[in-house]
Amino acid sequence: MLRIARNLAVSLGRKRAGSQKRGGDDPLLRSFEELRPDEQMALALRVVQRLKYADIATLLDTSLGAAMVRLAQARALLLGRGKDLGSGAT
Amino acid sequence: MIHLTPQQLSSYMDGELNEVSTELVRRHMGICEECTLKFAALEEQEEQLSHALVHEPGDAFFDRFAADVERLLPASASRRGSSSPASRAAAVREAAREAAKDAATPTASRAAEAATDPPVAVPKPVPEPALVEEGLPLGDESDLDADETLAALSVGRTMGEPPPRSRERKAPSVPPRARATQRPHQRPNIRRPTPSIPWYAALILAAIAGAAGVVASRTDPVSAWLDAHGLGSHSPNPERVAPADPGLQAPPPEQGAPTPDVPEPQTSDNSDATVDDFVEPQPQAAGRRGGEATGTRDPFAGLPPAPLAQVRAAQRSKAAADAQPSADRYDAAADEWERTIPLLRGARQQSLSRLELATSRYRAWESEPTASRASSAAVAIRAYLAFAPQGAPRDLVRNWLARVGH
Repeated sequence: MLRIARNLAVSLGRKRAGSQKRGGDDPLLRSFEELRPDEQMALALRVVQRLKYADIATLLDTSLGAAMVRLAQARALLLGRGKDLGSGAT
Repeated sequence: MIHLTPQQLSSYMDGELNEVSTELVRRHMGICEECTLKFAALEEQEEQLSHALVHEPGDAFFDRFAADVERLLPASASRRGSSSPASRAAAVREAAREAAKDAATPTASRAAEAATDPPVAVPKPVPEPALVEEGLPLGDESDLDADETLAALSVGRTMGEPPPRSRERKAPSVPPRARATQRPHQRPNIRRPTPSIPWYAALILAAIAGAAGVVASRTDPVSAWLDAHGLGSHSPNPERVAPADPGLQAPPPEQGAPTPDVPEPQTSDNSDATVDDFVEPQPQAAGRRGGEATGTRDPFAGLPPAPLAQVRAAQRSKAAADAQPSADRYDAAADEWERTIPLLRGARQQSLSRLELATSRYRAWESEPTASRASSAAVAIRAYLAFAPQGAPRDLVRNWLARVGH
């Protein structure tokens, strides 16, 4: 059931991706949207839903290590882009 | 100084490291300003992200929601041109949906909510008394398509919204009370594929093919080929995993007991066992073992050219030190591995490289014990232990830490 819900969410997100650009003026959200979908999903599940790594791995149908690496990569990429934006602004 | 990896920082922030690793990370951050700053930046980013990704309409929305419904109600009712209770209920629903649309802004949190809350977890609509009395058919949640389900999730809809198809259905002529008793027995209209004869034939053929494959894999030529390519047996290759020290060999499993995946923790007597006995075979290791065909199991095989070249240089340096052991050679190998680690991103590659670094530092100290080598070995060993998976190499390296005396 969770897989079905996840697939529905991914389908809807893909459908909307072309028609609608979200994020607005928030650079963090814009950087978030530039992440890969699986990284976005992992990060949202952790940050918004506060799920444990094991639950995230189950939902995303990956191993625990892959979920952990995906989260760490997403955070590192966001941090890097934030720094780039900060240095570009100054 | 070896800094914490993004995985370590991320897992530490989420509280997903074990106790030992948590303590080591905490200790490292006590002495490393760079990692502490990076961790603080990560925490700040997490805080901002949690606010940015969650869409809360706020009290103001709920305060004006009822008023908006009231305002929109006459317009919806007049458009429908009917004053029947069913039409009034439909008008209320339409007005509520329009009022909710004003505040509905898509955010990324919706995807996460939809991923974790299955459609059936949406609160089941409580039918209004008027609807039950009038016998208006209520739509099942299973009738909603993806857009409607997610829209219902995103605007927090609590009222049952029948799909258009249901709305156009004619009210049945059965008395309301009788329908109320029948309702739990009504099955949702779900289309299921009907198994046909070709479907059954394909299933049987697939089962036969699978059984034939299992039988064929047990025949001598096939199993010999599989063994030759390192695919033949699920049990570990004794030549590859058997420790050099007979004391390291795990006791034979009891009759009927499953083979343990993780060897027993090593005692201090096993400190002289080589870590290569546990590490996945690598090219230079294959050479030492008489050219085993292990290229497919090289964990560094998929690296880009530059990091791969650095890994190969480190492996060559370590192999040279193993061939002619000396403190200087092991120091050189350790330096190579230290340069290699920042180039790797995979958790397994990181773990293996840290293991090689810890081994080299320990061997250097063992060859010519000095205080600085002991300190370097202890740092390398702790860095490996902070992220090492459970298993024999970890237990062995932990014993080294006790021997180094830190």
